[in-house]
Amino acid sequence: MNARNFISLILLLTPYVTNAQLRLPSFDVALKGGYMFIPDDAVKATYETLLLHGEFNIHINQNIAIGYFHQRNSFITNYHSEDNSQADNPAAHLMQGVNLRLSTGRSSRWRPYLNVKYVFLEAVVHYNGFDVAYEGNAFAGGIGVMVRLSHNLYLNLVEAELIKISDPGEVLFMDRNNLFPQIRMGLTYNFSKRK
Amino acid sequence: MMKHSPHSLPWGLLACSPRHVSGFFLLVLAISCSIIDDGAIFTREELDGLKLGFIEVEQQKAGGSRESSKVSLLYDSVVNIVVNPSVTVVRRVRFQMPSFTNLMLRYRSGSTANNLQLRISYQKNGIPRSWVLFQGDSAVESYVFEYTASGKLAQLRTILDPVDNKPFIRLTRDTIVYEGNTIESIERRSPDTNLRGYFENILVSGEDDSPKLVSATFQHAQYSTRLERLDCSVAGGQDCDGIRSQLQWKTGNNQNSSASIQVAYQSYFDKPLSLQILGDSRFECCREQDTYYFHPFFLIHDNFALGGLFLSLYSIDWFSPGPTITGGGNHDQNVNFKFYYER
Repeated sequence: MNARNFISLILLLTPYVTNAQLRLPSFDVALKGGYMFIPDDAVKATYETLLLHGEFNIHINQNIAIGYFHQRNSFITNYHSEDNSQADNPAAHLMQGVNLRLSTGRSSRWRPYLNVKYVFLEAVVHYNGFDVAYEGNAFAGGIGVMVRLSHNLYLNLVEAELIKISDPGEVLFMDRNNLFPQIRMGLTYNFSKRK
Repeated sequence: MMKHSPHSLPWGLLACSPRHVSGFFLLVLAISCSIIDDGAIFTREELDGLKLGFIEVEQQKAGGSRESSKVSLLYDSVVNIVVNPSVTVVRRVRFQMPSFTNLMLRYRSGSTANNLQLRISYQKNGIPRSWVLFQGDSAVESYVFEYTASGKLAQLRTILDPVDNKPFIRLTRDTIVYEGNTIESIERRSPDTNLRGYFENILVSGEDDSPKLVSATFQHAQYSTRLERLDCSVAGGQDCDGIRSQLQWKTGNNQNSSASIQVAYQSYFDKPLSLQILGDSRFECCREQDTYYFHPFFLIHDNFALGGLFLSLYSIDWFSPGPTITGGGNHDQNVNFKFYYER
């Protein structure tokens, strides 16, 4: 069992461990859009995209939620290398993994929170006849704030994260010390039964 | 594009309560997604091991006429052919060649046949020995490369010999003289006095291992050709080797013309991804359609030390500007070679 499957298993078992009565756990679903910019210092290349981001978080208690997130680039994506006259190559990324959300406030309207993520990252740049790919892990941490719009609906006004690559790629971004930002906003729908 | 990772297990089977199955199954589906196809390249070693599979040749001229053709790999074989005591051919690559008859790109031999094959022979260290275009079983274009002891191109023999008992079009031997890390001169000898000439005043700039041509002059019996680097970033290119060629006839008539070459590389990849020749009426006005002759350096300039410089200098052989016309004209045109690699 590799790390990805192990974490998937932990994720799946979490509601059973935390809900002794095996009732449907309280959870929320989020859909967000965002922007990410990844420089590749080694070859002076950049990857930027308007991204799509989805989350499914199970509530441990009122302040802690753990879940799965899935993110990928949209069709508005650009990979550009300065030392490459073929300016724009079709490129794509996928991030998915475990998300831990810590709410730092429970006011009636504003809900600030901290995010910590363990990320499985994939990236691909397509060339004539072959793809150059990266597959690795990353850690991400950031802050965000939600605005309560209704009983169940929240607006993620802004989420800002820093993502740190754990292991550099050999032929595609990212450089060893690469640390890149991401900002997102979107909506979260809370299926919670408990308040 | 999207595929299911072979590493993922059917975790949905682990859901122990039926009412949870659908939600968890959706979750598992999402986890199993991957954007990386089988065969993607992760390492430098894999990247370096790629071989040229085929070349797509796209031509487009002003007015929108467009033609696409394909140079297909027939074989890429390891061989052991002793040419002479100092030269052994260790690899041979053969391509099925398209016929170029309608637009800008042509064969210098004038061949318009459709039974053309190209054979490239390599010595050790990946340096080419010969580049031969066959029409049927006749070699109609032959280029033979000889090297200095340090592996630099020393001589280039060119034999253009059409079939059907036509006379030689060209029989030349170019001798390259180096000064330090750059080319000092190239002398062209030939039994035909009209083909003799020499490059002089070759000025370059840039890095030692990949200098760019600044200017050079090819002196010929009837004319001289002055080549100058052109800032073709105006045409939207990056890393673009623009060439302005000024043909000065000894009779006093001058003819200016220009073309630019744009070669694209993947950042970690030492083989070209594409090579584009651009004609742009913004640089020189006004000519009829230019002609570009299919030349070895289009495909294999990267196999030579200073290959980019050779590609520029040998525009005297592969670039033939169209005649000047009055009253305006538009020769916006391009030829794009896209190189496709495979494992």
